[in-house]
Amino acid sequence: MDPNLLIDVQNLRVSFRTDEGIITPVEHVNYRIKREKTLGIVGESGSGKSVSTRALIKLLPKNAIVDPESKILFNRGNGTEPLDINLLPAGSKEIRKLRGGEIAMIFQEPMASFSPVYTIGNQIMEAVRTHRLSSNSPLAATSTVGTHISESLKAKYNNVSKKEARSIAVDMLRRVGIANADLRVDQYPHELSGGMRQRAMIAVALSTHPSILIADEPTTALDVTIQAQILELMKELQTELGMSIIFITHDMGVIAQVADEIAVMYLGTIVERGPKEAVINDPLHPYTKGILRAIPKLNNLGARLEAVGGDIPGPHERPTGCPFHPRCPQRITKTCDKLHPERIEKTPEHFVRCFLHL
Amino acid sequence: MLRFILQRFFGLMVTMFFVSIMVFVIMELPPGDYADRYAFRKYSGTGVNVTQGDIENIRRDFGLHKPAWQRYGDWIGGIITKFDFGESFAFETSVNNVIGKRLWLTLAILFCTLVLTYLLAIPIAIYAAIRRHSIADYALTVFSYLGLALPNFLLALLLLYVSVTIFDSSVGGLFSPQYEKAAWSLAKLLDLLKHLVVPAIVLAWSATALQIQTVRATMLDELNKLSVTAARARGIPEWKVLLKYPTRLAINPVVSTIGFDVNRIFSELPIVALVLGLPELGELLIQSYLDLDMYVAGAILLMLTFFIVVMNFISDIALAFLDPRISLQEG
Ligand SMILES: Nc1ncnc2c1ncn2[C@@H]1O[C@H](COP(=O)(O)OP(=O)(O)O)[C@@H](O)[C@H]1O
Ligand code: SF4
Ligand SMILES: [Mg+2]
Repeated sequence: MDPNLLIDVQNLRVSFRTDEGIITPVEHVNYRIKREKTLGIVGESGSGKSVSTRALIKLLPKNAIVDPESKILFNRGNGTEPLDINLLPAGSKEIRKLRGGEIAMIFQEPMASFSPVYTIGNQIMEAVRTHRLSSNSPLAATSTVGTHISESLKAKYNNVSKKEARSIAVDMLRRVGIANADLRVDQYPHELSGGMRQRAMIAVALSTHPSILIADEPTTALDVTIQAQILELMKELQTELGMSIIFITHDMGVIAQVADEIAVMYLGTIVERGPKEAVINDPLHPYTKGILRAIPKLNNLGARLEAVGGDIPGPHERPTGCPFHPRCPQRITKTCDKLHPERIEKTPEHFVRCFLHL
Repeated sequence: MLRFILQRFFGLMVTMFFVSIMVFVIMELPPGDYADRYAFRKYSGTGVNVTQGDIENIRRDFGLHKPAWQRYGDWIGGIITKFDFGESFAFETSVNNVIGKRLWLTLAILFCTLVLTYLLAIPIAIYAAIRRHSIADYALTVFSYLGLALPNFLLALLLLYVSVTIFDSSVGGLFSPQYEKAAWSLAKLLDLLKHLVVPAIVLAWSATALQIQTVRATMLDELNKLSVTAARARGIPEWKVLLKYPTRLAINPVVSTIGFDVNRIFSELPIVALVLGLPELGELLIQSYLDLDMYVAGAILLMLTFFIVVMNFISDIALAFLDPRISLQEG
């Protein structure tokens, strides 16, 4: 595996058992995350952004089925074989080590992400004590995922003490820009403002020094000025801690600010993926072109009206052929409605699924 | 938190004050007064001619000539300072003597019923919620509907019949004959517990069914919370996630309805006690109404409401400890 890659997702396909039968809202999904870089996933609500990223840590509801053929390769570094997360049983120890330890996640609703009956500090310390080894442990520096450390060795170098975890929590709150961190650490979520709660949520996620942070619409519920502050903070922490980020949003404007690479999702498939500049300046897929035109520009606010026409079909009425064809202004009859377009590498690292680019 | 507790305590005192006034009014309701009834009881059939003056003397002896507010003061004052609830007219002894044992037995039944209800309902409901749509979940749902539909006294009769015919043991009363008059010992205590099981099951039956449904519903709600997903995303072991997050919150509705459960147990107790032959307070309360033995009735009413109010107080405080949002809102 390319040492610069952290995660390589191949042919991800997720189905759900529902009362009306099996639906497959995520299919033909391929994406890669480079070390210390940000992948922005953009798409309308219901396009499968959350499902396709939660699959990375098997954080899916019980009725979900991930195709066993799908591969989720996690690069453990130092020349070892990549770990296929999809082969790990959902409740296994390895998965739990990955969750929070290597792959951390923050969500759209900072208030709902915290339990109201425990302090912020309690929830940070819980993560720290689950994953971090005491700083005087020689194991602390090495990644423990997928490597087999003998039980006796583990007992010797215990996880951090309560006291140490608390000081890590205070330090983490300080680093995410919360003033009076030593007081805030003992406060309950409802005592913090919305922006501060999202900062605290970032503190929980990053307190374990994960390799990657999955941010699932982290700023959607916040107002614009606070949103800008949080984006700035995430960038700062990314360089400071050297982690990768998956940034999920339905807002192309936000993606343009944070991402190094962009993946555009439509109806459970990534229809276009490539370096940020390439996707924004030279979009290939008609859907990408549509949503880029929908970003309001200062010189042309009316342009928003030009958004993609038509409605997204429901999960039970997935179109045959190209999923976008019912709404596509450039569809080729007898092709687009019959055949599913393969992935085409148009220029290096710039992929598209569309018959116009054969 | 201290401020919240003090506020609630003040509320408790105010409630008890109004309750005691209501109880006093109820005690005054029957026609005639204590002196009339005392004289009638003492001299009827003896051939002695009771004059208005005699009754007046009795009235003076008992302090009944004073205005109502003073009599209320004497009554409540005696209770607070000397724990003296007055005299029982029917038993011709102090109310304390009449009530004494029954008070402790009522409390024992109450306590056993509550413990049994919560020990059964909470784990069952949480299990059913976690294993939603499993056979066990459906079976428990059916059981809890049955529990709500079956009348208490019917269940009491059923258990009475079963234990007499099949187990050949007497469930009626609180003690087996050989322990009835015996001094307190471990064996007697065990005998008492054995006799408390049936009334506790009968009284806990419908409460358990009801609590299973509320706790299960709350638990299902809590399981879907984002904070639970977030805890899983932190890599916390599943059992710990379940116990620390949804379970902790699913217990809140149970805690907040303790007072309600006590109230319901007290209302159902007399019928069950009648069927099972238990010497508890509710039965005595009904008897004292029939006898117009108002000091006894007053004492029982006051005690039963006192327990309900105190349990409500405890449940408020416990809830505030369980949910930090509560005391902050009001404090
Ligand atoms: N628990 C579930 N059961 C059935 N279908 C689901 C479930 N969760 C998600 N889905 C389906 O997956 C689709 C994509 O959901 P999601 O990934 O949450 O979209 P996004 O995050 O892009 O808004 C939804 O439209 C829905 O049809
Ligand atoms: S494949 Fe056809 S329908 Fe799909 S986006 Fe391309 S042109 Fe449009
Ligand atoms: Mg989503």
